[in-house]
Amino acid sequence: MYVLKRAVFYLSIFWAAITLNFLLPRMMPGNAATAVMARAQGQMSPQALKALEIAFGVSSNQPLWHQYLAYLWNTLRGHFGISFTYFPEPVSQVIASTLPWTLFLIGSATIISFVIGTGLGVLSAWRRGRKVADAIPVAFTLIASMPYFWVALALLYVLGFVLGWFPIAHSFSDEQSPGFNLQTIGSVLYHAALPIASLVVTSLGGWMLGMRNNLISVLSEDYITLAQMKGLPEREVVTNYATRNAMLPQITSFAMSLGFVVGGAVVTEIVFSYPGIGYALYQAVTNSDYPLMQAIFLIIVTAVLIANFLIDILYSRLDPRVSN
Amino acid sequence: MEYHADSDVSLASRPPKGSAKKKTKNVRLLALFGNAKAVIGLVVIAIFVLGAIFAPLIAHDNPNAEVYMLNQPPSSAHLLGTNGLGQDVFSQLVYGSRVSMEVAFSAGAIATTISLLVGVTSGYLRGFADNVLSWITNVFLVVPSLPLVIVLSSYMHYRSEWPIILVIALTSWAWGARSLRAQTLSLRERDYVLHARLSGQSWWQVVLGEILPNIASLVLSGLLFSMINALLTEASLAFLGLGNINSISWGSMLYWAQNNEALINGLWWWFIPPGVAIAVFGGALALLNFSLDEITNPRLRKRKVRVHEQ
Amino acid sequence: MNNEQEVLSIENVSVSYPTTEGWVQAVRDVSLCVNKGQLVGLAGESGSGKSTLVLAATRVLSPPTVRVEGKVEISGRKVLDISKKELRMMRWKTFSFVTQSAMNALNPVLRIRTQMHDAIRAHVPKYSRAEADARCAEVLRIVELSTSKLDSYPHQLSGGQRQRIVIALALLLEPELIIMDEPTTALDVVAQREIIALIRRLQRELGFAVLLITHDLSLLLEVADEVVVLYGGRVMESGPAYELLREARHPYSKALVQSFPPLHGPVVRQEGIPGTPPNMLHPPAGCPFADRCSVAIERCHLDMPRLVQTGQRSIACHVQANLSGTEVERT
Repeated sequence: MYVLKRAVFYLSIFWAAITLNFLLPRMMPGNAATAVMARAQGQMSPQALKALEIAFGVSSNQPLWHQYLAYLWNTLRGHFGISFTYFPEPVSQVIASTLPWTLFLIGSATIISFVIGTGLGVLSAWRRGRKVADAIPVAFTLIASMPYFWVALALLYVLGFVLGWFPIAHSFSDEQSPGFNLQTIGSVLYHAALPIASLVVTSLGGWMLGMRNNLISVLSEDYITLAQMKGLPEREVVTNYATRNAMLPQITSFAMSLGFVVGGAVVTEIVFSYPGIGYALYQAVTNSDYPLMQAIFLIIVTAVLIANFLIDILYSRLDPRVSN
Repeated sequence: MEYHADSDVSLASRPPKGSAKKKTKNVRLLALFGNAKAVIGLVVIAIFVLGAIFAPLIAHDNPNAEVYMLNQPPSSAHLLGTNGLGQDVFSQLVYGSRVSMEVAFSAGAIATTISLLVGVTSGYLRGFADNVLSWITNVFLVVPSLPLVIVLSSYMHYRSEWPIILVIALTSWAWGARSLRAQTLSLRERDYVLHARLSGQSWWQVVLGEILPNIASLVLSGLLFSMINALLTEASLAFLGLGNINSISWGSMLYWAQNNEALINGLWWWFIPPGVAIAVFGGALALLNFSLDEITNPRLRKRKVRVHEQ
Repeated sequence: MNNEQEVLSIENVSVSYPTTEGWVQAVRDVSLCVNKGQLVGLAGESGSGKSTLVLAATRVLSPPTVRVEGKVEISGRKVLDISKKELRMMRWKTFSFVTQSAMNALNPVLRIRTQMHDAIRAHVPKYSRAEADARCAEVLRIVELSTSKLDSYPHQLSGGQRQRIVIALALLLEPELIIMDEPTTALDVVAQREIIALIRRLQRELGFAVLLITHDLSLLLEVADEVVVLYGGRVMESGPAYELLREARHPYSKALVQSFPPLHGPVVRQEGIPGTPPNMLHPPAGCPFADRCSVAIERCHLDMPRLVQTGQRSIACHVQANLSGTEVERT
């Protein structure tokens, strides 16, 4: 029941995102859709024009609702048209080749940062009152207020450029023949190290502060006191009672912060010329590649919605209170 | 979502209880001046604001003039050297603070106003209006804002900062609205609010007189959060060349530095200072927010009498 | 003093806690004892130091949070001197707790069964799962709950049911002593009476001793064997419940009795006690109750009356001492 409710909610947001994508070009000053179409007439191949039509859902003289339905139908079938930037590759092809890189980047960065940040949060809450433990959250508050891309630039400059320890662009070495062998994997990890590190550094603070605050709240709960009164070993109180319960809000914030992480990843990819979806979005925007741009936005939203939905299901397993 | 929203209240802010409500609130906000972190934050913010206002007195070079020797390292003539276009980096940094801070303050204020209107209305009216407003809030909460801003920016051609300010504000109000709604929902059922409602006060009297004073610290915290977000988003957009690249801001300085390959050429004085400026100003806002949380959330304050056996 | 019959003995215990303005003495020189199978009540308003006393005496509150002086023995063991490990082994097996708010005393995300099993596992590791399950089912039957509740989460139970679960939890390892801190505050009146009746019945049937902490003196007088009335961190009056029920002598006990409706008998007009408990940061020189006392004489404000024993009863009151004459000082 709970899962169904969440599914309906996310579907409704998905619909809202598609509608937004449809309406945006029309709501912009001067109606970007028709303006771009007019500019494109005669300059573009019929194929490109067709792509634009699909992207905007403009089919010359159809009524708006008709255009809207056609747009919905095309989008649901994954028909996004042809990309200008990567002409004549279809948009869906571009997304298929870039999305895995981004998922890899965000996935590993988020897991690393979640584990380290949460661990540090537990430490700093448990050792509260000591100088180091009290200084850590302040330090990370400051780091978290630095721009993602600038941390990326700084890492790139120091570790990649000055020290030459890491490559400064791309996802794997050109000399590598693409294939699934150890060397390629090594090269991929080597190239991903800096982008992942910059994402981890800037998002760590949020996890840490969250966990610290949750744990401090949980530690003052009566059930912790009772667990101690029961004479349970301290290790058991810490894991089964305190940490376990303090993790629950962390999972919620995990879902809520995905949007920020995605934003950070987009910029980081651009800094490192990392061939993910964020870099493709940047290419699309700078080349006025509207079909690609709109499709990428929709894919990002969809990915975030699916992730949120999965997290909701996980959460309802861990906290029996939500499903009621 | 309902359950999550409520569980947040205990962390975000715990309103004072019962009778002493308004007085303690004011005392608490004043307590900021007794908190070292808050004072440091306030002083840094004040320095930056003064620097922006009195920019011509601090930086004597025209930030736009491309008249100096290219790529000079810091010297007494150019405190932070010159860039690849022959401009004085220090002047750019000082004048650039104007745009960056204009965006941070305006977008922060607008986002906070929207979240206040939506959050309080939604929490106070409940029912159908709440369902609709909550749904909208959740949509904006889940849709990643930076990609949305990037898409929006691509349709616009900026001649001033205002489109950017509006776009940032429109995509960042949802967090605040969510916590304000949860807080209003719980305040609504407090005895003194019930009393005010039953004694025949109109809804706006109740909201202004009873609700607002008790969410003041939450609103302030939301404002600081939105300002940091606006500062960073503007910098990101400008860096990507999606802002108004003709005006000088910390973000656009980084854009030009990146475009002229300052990094590869080792011109650290071109891209380090704007980043540090963003980090320090953002850090000051964050520090203020951090101490605000310490002051209003009793559980985060110094360890009190609590069970700690074993 | 090492009487075989004593399960809990608290002797001359004082408790202080640190504040920014120095040490504050929350409990001063309190003695009380609980014999095997007895139900002893500890009464007082909130802020009287009754919870602090018991939590500090059982080392639930410990340094640096509090400073405890005096001597505490539970089943013949000096609780304040033993190692943490020994203390942990004693807990729940020798003495267990029923805490103030059963609403929050249970971990919301663990099943009742899990929360009972971990206590068994910590103290009787030799129990198999089946044996542990059998014991859990048994204590649930004892508190008159269906054993299916073992698989519930706390939020699926009513307030009264949760309170019963917490009591069942306390019975789990058959301790000699159960300390109950306001076990009924969160409940409605009907549920309160049921719980109190249940405690009394179990205590008689199973033979454990109870230290019952409550602000409801009139309720205590109906169920307890012995009663200790605490105010401002000091004992005001103590003695057998039937004695105090017949006549509470200390002005504070009197006021306390009058501020609650009796469980049985005719309804009488209720009077709250005017005024508030003293600020323990700046404790008064004389009797802590003097400012609120209707019969206080000048001496009450100047020096603290000693606790004097008259028959089975002890009272700390200048006015009452003048009336009764003989003065036996307790040390």
